[in-house]
Amino acid sequence: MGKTTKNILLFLILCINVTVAQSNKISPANNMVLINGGVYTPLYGEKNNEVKIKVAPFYIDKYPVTNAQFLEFVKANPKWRKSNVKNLFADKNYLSHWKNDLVLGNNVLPNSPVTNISWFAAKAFCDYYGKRLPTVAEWESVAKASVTNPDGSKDQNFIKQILEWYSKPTPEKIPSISKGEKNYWGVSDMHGLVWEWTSDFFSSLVTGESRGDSGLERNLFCGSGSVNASDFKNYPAFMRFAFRSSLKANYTTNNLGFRCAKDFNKKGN
Amino acid sequence: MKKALIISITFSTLLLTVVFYLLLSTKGSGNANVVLAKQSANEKKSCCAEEKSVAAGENSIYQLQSEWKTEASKKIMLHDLRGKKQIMAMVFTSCTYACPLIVNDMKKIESQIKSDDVNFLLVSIDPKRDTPETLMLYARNNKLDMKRWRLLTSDENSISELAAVLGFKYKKEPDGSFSHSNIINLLNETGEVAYQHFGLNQDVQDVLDELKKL
Amino acid sequence: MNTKNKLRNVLLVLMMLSLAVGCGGGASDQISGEEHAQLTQAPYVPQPITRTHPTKVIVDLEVREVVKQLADGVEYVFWTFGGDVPGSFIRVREGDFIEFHLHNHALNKLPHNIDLHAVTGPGGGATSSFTAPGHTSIFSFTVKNPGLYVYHCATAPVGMHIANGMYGLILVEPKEGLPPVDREYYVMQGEFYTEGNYGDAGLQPFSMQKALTETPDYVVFNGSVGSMVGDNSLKANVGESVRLYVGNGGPNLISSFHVIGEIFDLVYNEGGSNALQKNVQTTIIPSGGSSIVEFKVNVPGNFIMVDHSIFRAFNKGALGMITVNGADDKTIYSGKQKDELYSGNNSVSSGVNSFTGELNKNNGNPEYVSKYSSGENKIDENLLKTAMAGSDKSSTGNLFNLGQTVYNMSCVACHQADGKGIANVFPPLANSDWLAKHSKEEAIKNVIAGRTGELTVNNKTYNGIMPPQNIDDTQAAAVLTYVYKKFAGKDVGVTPDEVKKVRAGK
Repeated sequence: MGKTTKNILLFLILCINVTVAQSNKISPANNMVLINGGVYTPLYGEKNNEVKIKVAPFYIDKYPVTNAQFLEFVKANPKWRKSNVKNLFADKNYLSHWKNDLVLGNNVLPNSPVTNISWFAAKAFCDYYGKRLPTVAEWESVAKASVTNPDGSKDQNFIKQILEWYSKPTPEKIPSISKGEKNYWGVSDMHGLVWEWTSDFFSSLVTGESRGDSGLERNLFCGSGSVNASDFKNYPAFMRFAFRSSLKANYTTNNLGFRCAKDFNKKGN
Repeated sequence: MKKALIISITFSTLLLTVVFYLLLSTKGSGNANVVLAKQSANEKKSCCAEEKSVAAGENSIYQLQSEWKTEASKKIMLHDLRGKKQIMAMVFTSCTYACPLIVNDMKKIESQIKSDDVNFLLVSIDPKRDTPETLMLYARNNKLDMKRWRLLTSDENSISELAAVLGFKYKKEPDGSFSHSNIINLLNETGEVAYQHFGLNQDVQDVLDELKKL
Repeated sequence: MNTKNKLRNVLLVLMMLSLAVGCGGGASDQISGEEHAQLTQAPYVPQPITRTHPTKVIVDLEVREVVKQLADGVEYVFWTFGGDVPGSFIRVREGDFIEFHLHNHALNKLPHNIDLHAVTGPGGGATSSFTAPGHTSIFSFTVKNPGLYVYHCATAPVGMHIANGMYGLILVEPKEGLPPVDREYYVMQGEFYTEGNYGDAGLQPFSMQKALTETPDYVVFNGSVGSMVGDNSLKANVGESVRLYVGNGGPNLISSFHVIGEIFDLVYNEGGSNALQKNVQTTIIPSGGSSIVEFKVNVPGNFIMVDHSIFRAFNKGALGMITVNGADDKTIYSGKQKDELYSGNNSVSSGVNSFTGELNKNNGNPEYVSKYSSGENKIDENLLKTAMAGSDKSSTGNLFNLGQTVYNMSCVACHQADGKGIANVFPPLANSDWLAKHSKEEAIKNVIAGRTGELTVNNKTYNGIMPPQNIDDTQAAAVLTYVYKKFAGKDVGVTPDEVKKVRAGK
């Protein structure tokens, strides 16, 4: 074999190694599902004009990100470790349930959704793996699906189940993922385990004084004036909306986790 | 004579004793600090800092690593704004209702400040339409003093991060406009948010007062 | 002269001093000092305020989502201010400057806020107190208006937050304070809407559907059925003055608040500043409103607080008790003085001596004739027809059916539907050895003339009073036919003629 051929071969092997290494880095991508044809009805829209927004196809994680997965992430990214993180990016309860920077401890189930992480931390995780956080529209379009129907918003039992979970306090130890059935899209645990971050959670333009939020508060917010709730009976959506509006980007709570999404045109592995 | 003197002195002492007795029996004497605070409408005071225990500088928004372009197409990062106090707001140039009012409020503040250690910053949330050129035009049309004013634009990700850090809410509407909070932020020299003024066309005295404290 | 002038000066100085001191201290309108509010759980209230100046009050209130008992065997997830329903009672004074710290416990699922009706400001504080789990919000306000105010959570969906128990009371005492009383208590009404029915055991989820149609399963005081009953009743002594701070958290129903056996001497309608009315039996408390009622307890006993929309009191739990101890006053209330027999008007033409049970002849009051006396007004033909429309076409069968109707009207209260009577009180008819041993005539006599005195049935002794039954011969025959067949197993049948004979005294 000539020297050039050897070099070419070596080069090829190198490329393959790099590709393999890259794909290992993106390993969580394998657990994603393509959502094609999702429809999102914004909770607050133009009065008397219920808008149904077609959501462009995208990939979403089948499960929320787990403690074990997040641990791998902080191992590779020291600035996101508990003792290193800055207050601007995560408040002082960041990963407070972990024993220390690199040890989960006995009180934490490795396969339960990671909580006590801020929006910045969640974003950083998704970015690291070449993904991103889902938008509210994307998340809601997946969440409204029951087991058998892409639109479960008229299914009274489905709504009841969600409301029941919302009315119960958070257990000390959050259960592991994939306890719930996969929904119509094949995605698990959209309800029943944790609330989830979205990339534009701050698009909930409400004051917190929910009785006044039936119209846009013109003094506090500038915008297309006559905004009204599309469905006053969609209580789960209301409660999610309310929850998102109470958050700030560096907040962490022990019942708030996340999952990642990915654009469709940038096809992952 | 002497008798009269004695009588009047006794009388006065008695009077005083009675007065003192009455005072002591009604509880709550003392003229200590008067804490009469006004609560201005629509306003969240930064009174009670949750992050008191955090080290100074930890809350600086200049820790964001995003890159921005000014109206003169100059590339900067946020920490380049260090050293001067900033009065800033997030707006978009095609906004016809609130943003002109916000800019107006900022100008009101500007007219009251003579020192040159305070600058004014407008950050666009509309990267598609607000290019550096558009920003420059906007500045000219609004007669902004470019020695003190800066306008910035960047990509959606950077904008959302900055908004998140400020607690600024915004949403893109189907027609391309934005619904957003109305906030004027006061940043100290190291980039920490010292104060936030919510609402439109309010009295800007609170911002000026907070500025004096820095 | 000199001494006189000196004297005058001294006097003047002394007078001015006393004036100055008089103006400077004592009761004032300026806020001074700082204190932490002492919060209490229902039914107790914090001590009346004794200071005579406004102050800065720091209130720490924690929201906690907890599972607690709603009724016997029934549990519910309550969302609470301070760990209990209703929320902690806050007591402040007119003019106080309140610094409110609302804490949302880290284990809570949802964000919460607070709207205090005592606050003048956007949302009553709701805008400024919207708090995510694991966080605290702080905001301040001055209470300018005295009165008893409701506070509640106002996070969307508001109805659900209130329905789960997020309400309480804040009392703003007027500057001069309220007149002193011996006892003060905190009572708050609210409804609960559960998926299951009243009493269904287990952890009951919230029913949005029932909340929308305003059909609660539970209407209770202080967060659970029986919260102020038995050992938990409110206490007072004879002669004491009692003041109740009563709130209504709703979310939907208006309360008709009444204390059985008491009259409110004073009512501060709707929790306002003036006691507008005296001598009130029942007062209305709006949903999201309050009332202050005062009364003096003059006699001992149990006095029951109810919502006088009465099915709520007895079937849904809107019932609480005040136990008053002390000496009786018979002139105000004597209790039962006598217990007499009342035998209706049967002593009339059928002539029965109601004490001996013997038949009296021609001894009744001739002016009153019961329409059921024999020979006079006929029995209701329709009733007879209906009763006889049974499947058994025999005359005995028809009487049996009529008898069942009569039994269910006249006899069931004492002898019970199963004929077993009540132990030691009313003798059984079922398998009764008395019926087996005695003649039909004896049985007929019991029915139409009544019976008193000792009686032994199935080896048990009874000594009660059976009143004569106001029924005619056919009905008497019918009910006896029924009783014999159904309970004694004797298909003997009794005819109206047989009854007539006994009535005539043969």
